[in-house]
Amino acid sequence: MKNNLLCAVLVLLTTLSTQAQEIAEEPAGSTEATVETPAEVSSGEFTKAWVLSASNLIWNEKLEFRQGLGFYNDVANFSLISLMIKREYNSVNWGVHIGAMAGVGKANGGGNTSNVDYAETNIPVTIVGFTPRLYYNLSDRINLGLSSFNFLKSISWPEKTGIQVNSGRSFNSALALDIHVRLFERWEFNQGLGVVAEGATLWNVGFNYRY
Amino acid sequence: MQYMMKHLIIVISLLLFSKTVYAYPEFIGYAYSSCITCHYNGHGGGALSDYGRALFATEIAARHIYSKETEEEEIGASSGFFGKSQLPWWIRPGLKYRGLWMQLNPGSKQSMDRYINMQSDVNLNLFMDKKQTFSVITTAAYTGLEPYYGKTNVWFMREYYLRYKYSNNFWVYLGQLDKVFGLRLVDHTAVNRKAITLGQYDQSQGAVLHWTYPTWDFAVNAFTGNAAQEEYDMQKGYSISGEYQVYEKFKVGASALSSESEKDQWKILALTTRMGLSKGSAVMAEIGLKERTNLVTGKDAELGGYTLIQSLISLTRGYNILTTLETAKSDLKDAAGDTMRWSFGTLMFPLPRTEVRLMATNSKSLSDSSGTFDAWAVQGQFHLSY
Repeated sequence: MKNNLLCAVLVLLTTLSTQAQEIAEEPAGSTEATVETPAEVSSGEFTKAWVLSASNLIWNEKLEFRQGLGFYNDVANFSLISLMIKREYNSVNWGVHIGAMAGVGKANGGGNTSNVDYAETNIPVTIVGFTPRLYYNLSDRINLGLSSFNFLKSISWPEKTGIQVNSGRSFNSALALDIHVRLFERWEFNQGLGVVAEGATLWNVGFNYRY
Repeated sequence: MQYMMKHLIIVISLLLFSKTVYAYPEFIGYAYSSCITCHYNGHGGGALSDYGRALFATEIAARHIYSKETEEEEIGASSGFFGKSQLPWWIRPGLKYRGLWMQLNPGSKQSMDRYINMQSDVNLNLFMDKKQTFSVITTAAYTGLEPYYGKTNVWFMREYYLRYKYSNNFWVYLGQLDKVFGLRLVDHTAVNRKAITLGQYDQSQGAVLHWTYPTWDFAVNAFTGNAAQEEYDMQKGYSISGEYQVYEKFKVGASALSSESEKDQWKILALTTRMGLSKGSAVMAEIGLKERTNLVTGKDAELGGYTLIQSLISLTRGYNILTTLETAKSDLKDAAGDTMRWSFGTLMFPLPRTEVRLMATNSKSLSDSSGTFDAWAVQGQFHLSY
């Protein structure tokens, strides 16, 4: 095992070094130099770009059970991979994104209330929606923004005799504070934290490709 | 009374000599990509060198207390232990305190407050010659209520090692010091530190060979456990770590560790990257595989994984936004079992020698048997480095 581990690491280091050297052969500072800077845009003008985004969306929702005359609350966790396409309008300091999104994933829920015997995992869920974003350029490679995630959610919780299950609304709207960081000329890392409903937070973590 | 006097004497005598600061690998945003620039330890952590102290004062910390006319050189020159007064070349003392106030589940009935003295260190660093070819680096620490291998409220030696500088490109460390692996963050509770035997008390006796060049560095570390541990707890093994600078302010690296005690065996592999963005801003990440075998129960090894992504966004000198996204999975074969933590807030250096963190943490987990509720915590940290 020790030998295997050592071999794996050596191969890894060699691979990394090889790749790194290949990249390093480009003119020094080439990546930074080719990053499009908002400063190149004069006041009142917008540059436009398309942004493709692949993100992991994770959020919680209240899961409601109705059993007989009683109502009981529990929680459901959603984790989806979402694809978004956005149009970017960027000015010197400010910019907006207007985009559409679709995602697939799974949900887990129940199991926390002793009054209802209901716990399900890996329930398929899909979403479609639109996602506008307003942002402020902190530098040529970092912007802080406020995103709105508005989506229709489709999920069918398995039925259990005598128990009605309802998780949140079909239409969801979330506001999230986020940061986009330009890693390379066309690639960005994005991270956002928002609120779907009271006590229910949404995470959005992924990468953007600009063209 | 006699007990207090004894402690007071120890503190005062150590005060006269000693600086611990943990590593800030995110400072690649300032184009300082190598830890040896600021620390006596080439992999970061522990005492700051004179250059590191001056850099902290002139680039990292805000300059509110200085007039506009004060030159940066003057600020740098006053960053020594006794301010502008120079100490003899053969001695460099230092002090480090880190305190944490945290509130779990704020706003709920289960809300709970706690204050923790995380770190109370006294450094004493001695040099055998002006070029610091041979150095003795030591850090004494006081545990407070956080137990150091079962003991609370005691002084102990966190690290002590001999550093030999063969050349500017090759260094040897011999003694008890942090193990070489991955990104050495100041947050010892991060998924890439304490959870994988790299916590704030996991310094280990051993030797480190460190080759460092402008575009790459590589280190090998053989270790035999912490002197304060019981023999059956001592993790003995080796680690290797390397980083390559693809271009200025962009590094990629890899680390591996293999160790074993009488109780368990660890094999860890990680890939790392650090990238400076604009001045003072950076993003860095570590993704790792961790395999732990419980040698007592004889159960099959569990292969887990972890990810850490940290972003430091500089707003103005001394004031930053800090976000850390962490995920961990103890067994990759589990469909669920993910734990995730998102910490965000401010990292501030409002005055020389001080650091203040105001952070909120949102934790989520995915279980394979039920839904799980979010957990929240808020915390404030105060660090004093003297």
